[in-house]
Amino acid sequence: MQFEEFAREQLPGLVRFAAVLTGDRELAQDVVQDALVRAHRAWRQLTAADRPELYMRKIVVNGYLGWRRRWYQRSVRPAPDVLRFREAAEPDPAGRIADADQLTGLLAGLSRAQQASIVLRFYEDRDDDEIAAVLGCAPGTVRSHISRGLSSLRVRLDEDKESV
Amino acid sequence: MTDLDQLRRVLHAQEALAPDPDAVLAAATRRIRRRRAAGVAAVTLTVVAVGAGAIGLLERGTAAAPPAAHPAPPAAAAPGAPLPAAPSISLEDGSWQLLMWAVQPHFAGLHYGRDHRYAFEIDVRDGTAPHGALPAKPTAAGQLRDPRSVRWQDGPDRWVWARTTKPVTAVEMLDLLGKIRATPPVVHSPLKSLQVPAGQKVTTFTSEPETNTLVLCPDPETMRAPLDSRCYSLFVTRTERAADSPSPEDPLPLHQHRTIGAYTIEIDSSPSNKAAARELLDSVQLDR
Repeated sequence: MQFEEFAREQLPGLVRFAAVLTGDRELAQDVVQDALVRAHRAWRQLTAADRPELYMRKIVVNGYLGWRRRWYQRSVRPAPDVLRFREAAEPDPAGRIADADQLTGLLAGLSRAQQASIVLRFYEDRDDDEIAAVLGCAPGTVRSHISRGLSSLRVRLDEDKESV
Repeated sequence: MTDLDQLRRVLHAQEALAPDPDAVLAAATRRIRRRRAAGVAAVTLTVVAVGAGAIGLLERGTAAAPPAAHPAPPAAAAPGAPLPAAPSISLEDGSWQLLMWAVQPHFAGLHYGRDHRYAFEIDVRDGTAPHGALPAKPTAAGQLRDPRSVRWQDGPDRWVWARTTKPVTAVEMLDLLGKIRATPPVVHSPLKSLQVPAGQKVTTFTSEPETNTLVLCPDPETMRAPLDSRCYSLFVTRTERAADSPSPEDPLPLHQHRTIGAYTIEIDSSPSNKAAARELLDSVQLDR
């Protein structure tokens, strides 16, 4: 398989994944572009990889985890995002339902590793081992990321349906 | 509380933000081709650089700017003025690598990484710390309610927020906080100087080993998100240029660039500021 053929096959899923991960079209475009350039450079390793689609997600996630240009320009500011996240993460005695907007805002407030873990699990339905391969950490760490992330999002885990 | 189905719906709704795969591939392909061309050009540049080395060293000797006493001096920039200095605070712990520092009016931030997994951030802000912050830098582990996020008043008009993504105990965090010193971080970033257009002030300046970001706006105190059309955004990096793919909402849709050696300098502006942006771009000197 040639690189362009591989890229065309991977890209539709990869751009959606990047969009869900970053919540920002331009940033998604940047990280996927970077990922393609890096993948081209590492084409030999990529073709030898057991799961090239996970390898590509690993590059995308690493690009996102790094501090990149867009982040500098748009997020390096004394914004209260993290504070809002922390306030929202406090126990809510009223049991207020978090709406979609709230949830989106809370997602943006998670650590990037937590965001990546949540997206890989609940958007891409990846298992712990796959997420661990993407993040380069132990499966136990993945479970911790997801558990803490869900807790911060105030998402109730239905133990009968899901296990983390 | 909400449930996982709602979370899934929210995540799937974000798919709408996905960029066009064909446009991404086209831009990436252009970058790959440029990279190949640059690989050939680099051989020539290396030969030239040997002869130019002595001149380059003389120029670098004039580049040093004294560190600022205060962490957030960027608004003082003017035509010909030195670039903002690093904030007078840093984490002195060899196991954490400084990734970048940033300054804005009333704000400075430092970002450290460890093992490509964990982050440690220090923010310094003007004013009074929010409710719940400690009255001074903590000296005992028992003072840390949340060891991963600690805020304290660091003077009459300045407060510090240190936080990490690494799971740490209160004792470990206290140890790290003890390594936060009033010395500026040392980063050898590429940008040496430029001519700031009259009326423009530094809104954001970031520094990391091979990259600088500089955002100039007429009034940094009234920042719009992310920028308004009167601003300029300059980016210096050793890697290749990002794709020219402005969105309709982009307040600075005009992208210009030039290369100096292995570095690319990009500037984004509004179309009406094209000439001034070009002048700014041409004034850039690198410390390389």
